[in-house]
Amino acid sequence: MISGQGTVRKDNAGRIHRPRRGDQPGLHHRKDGEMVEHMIARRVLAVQQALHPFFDTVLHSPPRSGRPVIADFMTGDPQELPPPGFVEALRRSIPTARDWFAYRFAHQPARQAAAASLTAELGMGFAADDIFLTRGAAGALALALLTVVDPGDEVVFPQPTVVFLRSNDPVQWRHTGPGPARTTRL
Amino acid sequence: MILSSGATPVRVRLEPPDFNLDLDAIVAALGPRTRAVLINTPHNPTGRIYPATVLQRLADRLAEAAARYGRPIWVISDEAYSRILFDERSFVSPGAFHPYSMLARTYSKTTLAPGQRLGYLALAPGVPQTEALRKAVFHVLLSSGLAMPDAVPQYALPDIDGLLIDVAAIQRRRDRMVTALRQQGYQLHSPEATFYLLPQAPAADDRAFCALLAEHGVAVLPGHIIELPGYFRISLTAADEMVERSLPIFARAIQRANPSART
Repeated sequence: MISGQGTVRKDNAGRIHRPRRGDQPGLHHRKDGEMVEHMIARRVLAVQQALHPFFDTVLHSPPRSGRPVIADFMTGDPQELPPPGFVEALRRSIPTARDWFAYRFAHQPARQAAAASLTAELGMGFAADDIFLTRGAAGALALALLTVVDPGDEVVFPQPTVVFLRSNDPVQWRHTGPGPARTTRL
Repeated sequence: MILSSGATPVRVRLEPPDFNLDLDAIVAALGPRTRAVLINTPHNPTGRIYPATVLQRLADRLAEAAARYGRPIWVISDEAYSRILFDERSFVSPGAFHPYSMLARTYSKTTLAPGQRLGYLALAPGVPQTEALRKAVFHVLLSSGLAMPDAVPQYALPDIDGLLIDVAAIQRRRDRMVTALRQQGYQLHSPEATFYLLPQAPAADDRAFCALLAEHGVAVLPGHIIELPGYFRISLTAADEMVERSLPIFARAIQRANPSART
């Protein structure tokens, strides 16, 4: 079964259905009457429309809006310190040479270490030259997509996913200010 | 992220209760314009690890489709949780079966330090046209200006790579919560990996149920906003004390939403 609730959906006959631009609630007129859609790239407006409810919900949730909580299970943010050795690893990486903060496109010892580790973990032979350091997995995914897709290409992905989500309406928290404000007794 | 790249996202639904990859649905979604299939294993938010047999069949079907449409179909594999595995399970990468694969990795999960942005993209061994591809990826890395980590984390990577949070503690937290929540009447599976539990909301509207929990100090992620209405997600990165403090709230909330639930 193929879901049909995406920004762009594909039916079982392989037809692509795109929403009409006027259907997109993320488009606004500015005060001076200029359409925002003429100022910002269309794909960015689509990204904003897809992600805004998720971030709006999370950023206005009690843990993110100053209201005390007894348990924060909202995101994968740490509630404890990183493993022993993490801070020390960063400390060991403080400047030791004049060019320490020079451009580092691909620090070869790091690529070698990652390749060796990945080879050991997966039992596949990775070369250091096949490792491209990024800002987390998000950077790696963006790098992969930008390398292989052209505008108009299709990318298939399983839903649900937190990584490539298209959010529904944001959640309206009943109270987002500091301090308790219970309206429902448990 | 797909939209940001200029591509058109095409969704294939993972169906509860087991959330397995539906290979027939994936094949039905493929077409002459398909450039890539994104796979997230272990999967956030369901905690599923896709087995080797399924990944092999996926690779076979993608190869057939590529031959049909005259161009390769990439697998972009998000493997952020590949080392957060429970019950001595093992992980296998889609890259082991499909030569046109790229693997996205991060240290955010293994060190539980997502604010330190460090990871990498790995080309699967044996990928065709390796030299041309290496050159292409490198130039995208330079030209995009977004993906490259700062220098200091790059220097630290050899030391950080071997670090791993206490996965046994996360597993104990999973077991504690799954057992307690089931006793309270919640319906949920025990995840094979990742940081997340995925209970069904005992009320028709998961948003309202999550808002009720939030009013009483327990913050969870409503399924509605992650394309999974009727569920909510619990992150096990919380501290053990938080778990214990939350359980009475979960118990009272399900009683209020569904008075016939067990106590």
